[in-house]
Amino acid sequence: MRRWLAWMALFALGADVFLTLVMAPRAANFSAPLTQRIFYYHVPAAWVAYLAFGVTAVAGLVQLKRRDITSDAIALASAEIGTLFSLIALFTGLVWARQEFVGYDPLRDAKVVTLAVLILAYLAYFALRRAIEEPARRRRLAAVFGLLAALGVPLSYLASQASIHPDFTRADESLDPALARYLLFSLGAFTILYAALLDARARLALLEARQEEPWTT
Amino acid sequence: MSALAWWRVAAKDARLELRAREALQPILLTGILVVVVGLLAFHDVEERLPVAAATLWIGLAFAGSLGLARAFGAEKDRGTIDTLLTLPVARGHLYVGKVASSFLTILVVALVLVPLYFAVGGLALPASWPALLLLVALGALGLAATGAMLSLLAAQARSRDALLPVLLAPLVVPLLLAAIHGTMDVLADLPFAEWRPELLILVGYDISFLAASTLLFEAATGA
Repeated sequence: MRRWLAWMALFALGADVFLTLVMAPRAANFSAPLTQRIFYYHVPAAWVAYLAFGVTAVAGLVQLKRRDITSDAIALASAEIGTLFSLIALFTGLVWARQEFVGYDPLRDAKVVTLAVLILAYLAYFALRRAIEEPARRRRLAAVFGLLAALGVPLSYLASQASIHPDFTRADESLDPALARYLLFSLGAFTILYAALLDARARLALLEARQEEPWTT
Repeated sequence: MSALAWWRVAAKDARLELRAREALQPILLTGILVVVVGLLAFHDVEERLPVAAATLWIGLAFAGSLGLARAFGAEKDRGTIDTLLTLPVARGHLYVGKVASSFLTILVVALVLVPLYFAVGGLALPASWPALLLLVALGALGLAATGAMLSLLAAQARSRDALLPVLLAPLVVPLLLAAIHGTMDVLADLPFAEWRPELLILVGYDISFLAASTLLFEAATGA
């Protein structure tokens, strides 16, 4: 485990809590301005959830090319961290929407549906891994499933209906620049946290793989 | 045996089914059960079209997943999967052949379920009923494309019959969402422009999963 990475994550996260909960100005145009601060954690958690899924898919490509244990360790570690962060994103989003909106229906929200599909895909990925004993086969089939799932998740966003979910890419909903700085910092902090967790978990997975098959590389 | 190898694989499956009739019966019964129970349970609901559309697709997906488990599962049971894999044809043909036979199975189920659905559900047949057939065909193709591939993964794992629905669920959500919304629009006799996005998603889903699975099939067989 890289100590410096863990320290960096700890420092970034500490600064992030201070910046977003104390320093960031109150948001205008929100019916629940205090609860609004949850979005400094919700958006980065969702970003990490999808990033982690992408990393699992790319590691799957490398796995099919090289059939090594390192890419599989990274894929597994990333999937586990991604599951955690997608649950955080889902939970924080639902809490916030409950405070901000009246009569909010999560199942009519394309981003909620996509996140739910992402969580299901992660769980299926672990179920597949657990059902295969032979390590080489497990690595290979998990990689195939990870790649297929990476195709299904974006498609489920397209297939869901449009919703009242805030969308910063729309001109009438663009984010207040005074708040955007804090969001960017939070995104950075969460990405460092992801890297530190990935490093630690992938090393553990590598040790497990070597114990399982001492003769592999 | 080269260019039409996939056809031979599919024809072999169809011939086996015609001789033994072991798969289709439970699959059909499952589909009928889901559709009948669904239509009865939601009989008094005011907005019936959405419920009816969802019921049809849940029935097709459930019945389909039973049939899909057999695509490679049955080969594993009989010990014929190794024979299949040693055939001197490109592996892609095996995948396409299994998609074809799974597609045929789901289509047969749909041909029973859809009329039943109008008879028991007491729904009016929409003027644009050929559109419904198109949606069913595209949906069945997508289910077959994803399911045949996942059946190969599940066949190499423990407790594969329980595993396949778990693997299938997250991957067919986009397909089912588009198919259900499209079916809703067609049942309500809405113009083509209303359900064109759903049609495009179905076509896009079918093409992308067929292409990706053909590419990944080799790796999934263990080559």
